[in-house]
Amino acid sequence: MRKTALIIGLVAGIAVALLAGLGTSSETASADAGPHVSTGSDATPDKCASCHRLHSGQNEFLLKQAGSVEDFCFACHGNGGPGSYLAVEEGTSYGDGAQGLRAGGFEEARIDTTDPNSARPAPTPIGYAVTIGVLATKQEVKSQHAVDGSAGTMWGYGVPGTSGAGISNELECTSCHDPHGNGNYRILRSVPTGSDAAGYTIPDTYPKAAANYTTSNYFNMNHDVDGNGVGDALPGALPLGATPAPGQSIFVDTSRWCSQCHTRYLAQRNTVVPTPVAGSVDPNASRMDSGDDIFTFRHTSAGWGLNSSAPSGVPGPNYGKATFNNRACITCHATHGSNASMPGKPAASPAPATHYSSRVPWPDGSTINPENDLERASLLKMNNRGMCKKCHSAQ
Amino acid sequence: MSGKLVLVVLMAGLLAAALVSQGRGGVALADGGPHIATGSDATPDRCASCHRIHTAETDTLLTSGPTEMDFCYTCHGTGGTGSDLDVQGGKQRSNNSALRAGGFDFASINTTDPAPDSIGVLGTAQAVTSWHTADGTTAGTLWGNGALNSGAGPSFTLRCSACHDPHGNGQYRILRPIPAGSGATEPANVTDEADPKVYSTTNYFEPGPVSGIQMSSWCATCHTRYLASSTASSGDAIFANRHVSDGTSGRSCTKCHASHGTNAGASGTYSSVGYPGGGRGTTNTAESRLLKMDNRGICIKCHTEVLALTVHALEAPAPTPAAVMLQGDADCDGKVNSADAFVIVRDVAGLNGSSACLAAGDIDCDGERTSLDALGILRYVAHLSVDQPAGCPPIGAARTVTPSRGAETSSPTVAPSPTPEASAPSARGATSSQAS
Repeated sequence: MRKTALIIGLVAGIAVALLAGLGTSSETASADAGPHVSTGSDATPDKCASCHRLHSGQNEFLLKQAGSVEDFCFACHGNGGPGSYLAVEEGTSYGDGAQGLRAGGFEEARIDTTDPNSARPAPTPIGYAVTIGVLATKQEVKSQHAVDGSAGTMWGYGVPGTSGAGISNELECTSCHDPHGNGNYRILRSVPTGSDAAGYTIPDTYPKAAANYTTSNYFNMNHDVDGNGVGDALPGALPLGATPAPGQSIFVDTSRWCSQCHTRYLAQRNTVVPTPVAGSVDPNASRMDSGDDIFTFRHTSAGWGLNSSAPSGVPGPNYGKATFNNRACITCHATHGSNASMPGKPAASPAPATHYSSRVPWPDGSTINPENDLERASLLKMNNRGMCKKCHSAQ
Repeated sequence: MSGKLVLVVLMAGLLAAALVSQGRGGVALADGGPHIATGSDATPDRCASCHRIHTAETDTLLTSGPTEMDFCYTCHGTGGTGSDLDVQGGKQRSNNSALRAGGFDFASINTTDPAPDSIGVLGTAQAVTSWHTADGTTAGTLWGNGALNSGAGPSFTLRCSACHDPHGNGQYRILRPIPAGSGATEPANVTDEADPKVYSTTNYFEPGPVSGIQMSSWCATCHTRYLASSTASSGDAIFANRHVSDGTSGRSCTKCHASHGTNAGASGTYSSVGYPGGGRGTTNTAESRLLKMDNRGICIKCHTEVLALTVHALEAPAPTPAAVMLQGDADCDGKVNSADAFVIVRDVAGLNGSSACLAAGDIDCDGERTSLDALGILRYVAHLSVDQPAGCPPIGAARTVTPSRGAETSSPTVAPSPTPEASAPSARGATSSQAS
């Protein structure tokens, strides 16, 4: 597997559940409630003024407070949740005590990035043995989607064969989320700003109970369908040979959405056991030559495969080999930010010390600290690329 | 009979004559009735309708008081008998229709109207929740008045005649080009609408037969720092970034605000926003700020569906009549076509219409509208050359007219196209097809 294949930058908003009650109610509010207007159907919305001042705005968006869009969003969604349970700045929900937000946070997160639990090789009974726990104390993130409006790189943008590793982009909260609401999952824009994509709409049909904004297991990103407070089973077997419909799988939906910006990261499993043919090119398939000079062979990331071997009606997960329904962007990456770091392996466990994870260059070959970059974490949920072993436990 | 009794009888007769002259039961025009338009009439028979030179009850020699507003209400109040226009109750008496500007005590704006492009009229007037306090005794704030970073605005005690010239002046609604107390140095003329004037409305979302550009400029003589042509920073600490309000593309002050008063409420959680520079009103409803819809619902009259920060519904010019005065656009429809030539020909023939943009029909800038102007427009429509003197705005360019003297200025920039421009093709539009 190429080193670059794991660098999947996500621009999803899994945990930006925007609450309505502004900290005064115990109910979980959906993103389209509160000040975030969904549609123009309400003639007297009483929401515009929650954010805007028409004649005394303090920036070009006529927001009532000066500073960046990120600053303004944090006025509600910042540390302590001053205006919303969902403190995306610190990756915490205050709806029912301090809980970890599913997508992590932009400054801190609560991901147990050293959780040793992992899957075991077949014939492990079907079940959810794999976990990534939640820390009681938040930690500083080592990588995050920089949404402060500064220029970054939209890694993997463009169809396979596109020159370069990506394009420069100035990301803001509103690049991904529509603050006025749009009826989409997590008010994600159908077309992320800057992507110029054709658009992919994730319907807002997934459960919105509190447990779906937080998590007790950062590995299980599925939703709490039965309302018991934890994510439920992966969706049943997805259609074989047909494209899953929007709303059928959060894994498929989010991977498609993320890849509007990170286009060349999206790869689906085309065969149970890939058998690349020399010289053949498939821009859609995982572990096949995509035809791209940089993102040449990619790990499955589409959350779905054309030739799923899972028996129909049998949910995952056998994270080892059989199904592909969980191999999505959000399986490995925390969309807002992760506290995972890349400290390398100490010399004593066993010797010698290694620093492979902290020396992975960016897709364009650049590095920050080529010898040891602890923050080269790429939004991954486990230290030292420990995500790999969550599934590939026997390897 | 004593001389005093004779005088009383005489004055009563004059008052009765004045009332008759206003056409009770008919429509009294702002420059008709007792409001004198010019001084050219040597025997106007109007002064005495309001003034008593030796027996006045106010310092402005009015026949009654004690306040100026009290006096105005003797004609324009709910119990007034001297005018068809009841600005106190927000009604036009003759047909019980709703005044466009609302009223100072009552208004009939359907402040919950869900229709996307209209704000209807209530059958029964409601008490206003915010109004321009024009009683001449209550000190208010002239919000946004003054230079940059001069605070939220100075204190000011407003009265009716601060805005309206009771002696008439040929302006729209006899508005003073320089409102009293505004501190403005440049007049803001507002072209009067042609007869017959229409004071009422069936749709409060339409600001009326007046140039939005002129109207906003006029409002800004007092509310200086509210006038904005873009959302870029003004440099002011309080009025830093402002919604476009200069009347372009229909975004004028009176599009959102009722200038006399509104019955809109603002009792919602977020709509009680506080005043510029800090401080809050005494009640939530006082936060309605003369807006025409409850709870800032006026916003979504334009910003209806998906409100992406980068996609504003109003980026495309709205087809609001008279919102953009284009050279040659005599009918205010935002376009220059043969209909404008027709309007000019009718005007030349003395068949006045109701367009506020007739002045824009003077395409050769000679100070009058003639058949030659109509011909020039027809040539323009036919893509033929049009002779215009140097300095005269070309047909289709923005034009500001100051009708009192016929002088005019033209904007160096061409006005927005009457039709929205197509979106530029994306240079990267095909790159994400793989993900879909």
